[in-house]
Amino acid sequence: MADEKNEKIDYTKYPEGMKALAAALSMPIPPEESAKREAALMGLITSLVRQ
Amino acid sequence: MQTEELRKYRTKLFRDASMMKTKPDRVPHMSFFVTWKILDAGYKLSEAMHDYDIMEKVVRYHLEHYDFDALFEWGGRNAVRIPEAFGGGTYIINDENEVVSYLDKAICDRGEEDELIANPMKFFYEKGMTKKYPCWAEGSVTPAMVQKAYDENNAFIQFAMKMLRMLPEEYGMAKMTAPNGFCYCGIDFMFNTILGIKGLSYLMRRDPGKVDAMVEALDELYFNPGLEALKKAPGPNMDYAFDYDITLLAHTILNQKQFERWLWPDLKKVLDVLAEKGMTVRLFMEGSSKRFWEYFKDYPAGVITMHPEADDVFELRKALPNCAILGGMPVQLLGKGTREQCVERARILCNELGKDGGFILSQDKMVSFRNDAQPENVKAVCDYVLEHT
Amino acid sequence: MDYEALAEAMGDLDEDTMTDMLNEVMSEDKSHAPEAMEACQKGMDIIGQRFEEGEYFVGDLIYAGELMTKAVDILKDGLVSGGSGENAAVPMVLCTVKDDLHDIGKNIVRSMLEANGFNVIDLGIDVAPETVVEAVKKNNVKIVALSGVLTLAIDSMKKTVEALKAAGLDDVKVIIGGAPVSEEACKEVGADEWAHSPQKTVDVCKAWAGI
Repeated sequence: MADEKNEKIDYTKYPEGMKALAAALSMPIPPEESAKREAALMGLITSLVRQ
Repeated sequence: MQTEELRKYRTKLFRDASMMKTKPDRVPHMSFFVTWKILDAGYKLSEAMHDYDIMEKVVRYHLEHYDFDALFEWGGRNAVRIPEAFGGGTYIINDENEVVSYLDKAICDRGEEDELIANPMKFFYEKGMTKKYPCWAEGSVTPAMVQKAYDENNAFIQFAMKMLRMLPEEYGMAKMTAPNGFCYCGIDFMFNTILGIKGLSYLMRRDPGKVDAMVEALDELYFNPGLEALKKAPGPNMDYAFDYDITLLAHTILNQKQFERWLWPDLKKVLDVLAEKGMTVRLFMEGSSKRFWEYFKDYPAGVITMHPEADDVFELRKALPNCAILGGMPVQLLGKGTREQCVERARILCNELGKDGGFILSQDKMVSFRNDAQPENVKAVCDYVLEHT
Repeated sequence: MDYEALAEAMGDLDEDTMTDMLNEVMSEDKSHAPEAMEACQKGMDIIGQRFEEGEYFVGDLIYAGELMTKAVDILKDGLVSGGSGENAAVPMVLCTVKDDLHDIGKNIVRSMLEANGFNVIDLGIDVAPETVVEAVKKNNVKIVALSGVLTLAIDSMKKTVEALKAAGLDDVKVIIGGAPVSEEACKEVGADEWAHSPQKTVDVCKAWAGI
């Protein structure tokens, strides 16, 4: 993960932080399918908020 | 009976009971045991809730000691590892007192409603996460931390898939609910997470127009897509005990007018689709639902299976003869009663409510604490159902 | 000041009208604060009645609790606290029992009890039996209300009643409330009364207090 490149990004901001996180995560969705990756991350976020 | 044959037999018991066209061969029996299973199997709550291998042993113990036909809960109800991986979480596990508590933490404070209505996703991401997780509030979250939560979520999904395969394939248990998705009623979401009980009570009186707007915004994301998916379902899936499952909580604070304005419209949409397709639903309304029984009376027989928590099942049968009933065995009796009293209750339930079908035996509440049930009582009821119904 | 109208506003859960009227009371002459408080208490009686009749439900009672807190906050400088004599509030202890964290029902009941002449010593949630005993002794309380939602609350309620008896507090009356309570549970716990309805709790406590 490119933490150094992204260190100035505020990951808590939506949508820019969310997009950066979705791009940085290791997940079985190809990097070019950013919309799906972001949907997967938002699914996790919603689940975490509902816990 | 071979495992697959047993599974099909058990599934047919549930289908016959819930669809109310045929009296089942015997009364089906569903386990509504949750954290009690952990204690009964000899483990601590924190052990099982943090270790999927131990939780698997807990579920196996339950299956091997008590002859139920289906398990509602297979160890995934309180997925504490996911929020804990992120440094947060609202569960308090007290092993000494054998209690799991849940701290209510509403994510939308007064004055923030318009923000949520304008963009719920942004609100959950920025404000919701900030209120639930210190690293978000501090701005110290990193991709590595989110990866950990993501990986835990995947581990949970793997565990869930394993359990949902194990139950039917190894133990011949009926599969509970067909994969037809989920519709989250906006007002229930507001009750549970968004506003909490106090916040919702206040907003309903203070600014009902805002409640309308919030329900609409949340329904757009969490109800409408589920409803559209349900509309595409081909019809009843006879490989499962039920086609759909609904658990509701918000009605426990709503007056009649509030129910009609904010919960019934959503609930009706789902029930209407299910009725049109001849699909079945287990409907669990926490606490008492008696005030709202009249809303269900015109649905055709064999669509709704009511699972009452606080209401009298015999009264329910009289009020809603079109609805199958799931439940009836009081946790209070399983915990404090004698073996004979529990068996007698089972006998009365099965003979009266099940005499023409339309009845599935289960516990009235999620069985959570050690004293909620004595193992010998549970076994006695399970054996009675197999031998006498 | 039309105190009947104030009571009606409270009963109608009309926060704005209630607030305006209370602010008017305090801006004119604080000495009328007790009458205004009494009107709000009558309003709570209206609310309790509408709950019993099925018009209002739990969400309305929660909101009513907030209104009552607001009313007290506005009027507090004009209210005489404590005191002795026939108008002194009757002290009583209220809590959610050990291992139970639920407080909604308890808070609703507290608001209604306070509106009906009780000085409620609210011990909060997850309260151990010995804490209840201590509070009863310290405040010379003769009425205790125990609340709980979980099934395990019954066991905690029983232990609390046993602790009161073990401490020689046999003259203390105990009422239990919440989802798991029943006639059978009341007998098992050793309590004197049980209630699902907050109005019943108020009526029973008032009868015990002779008010």
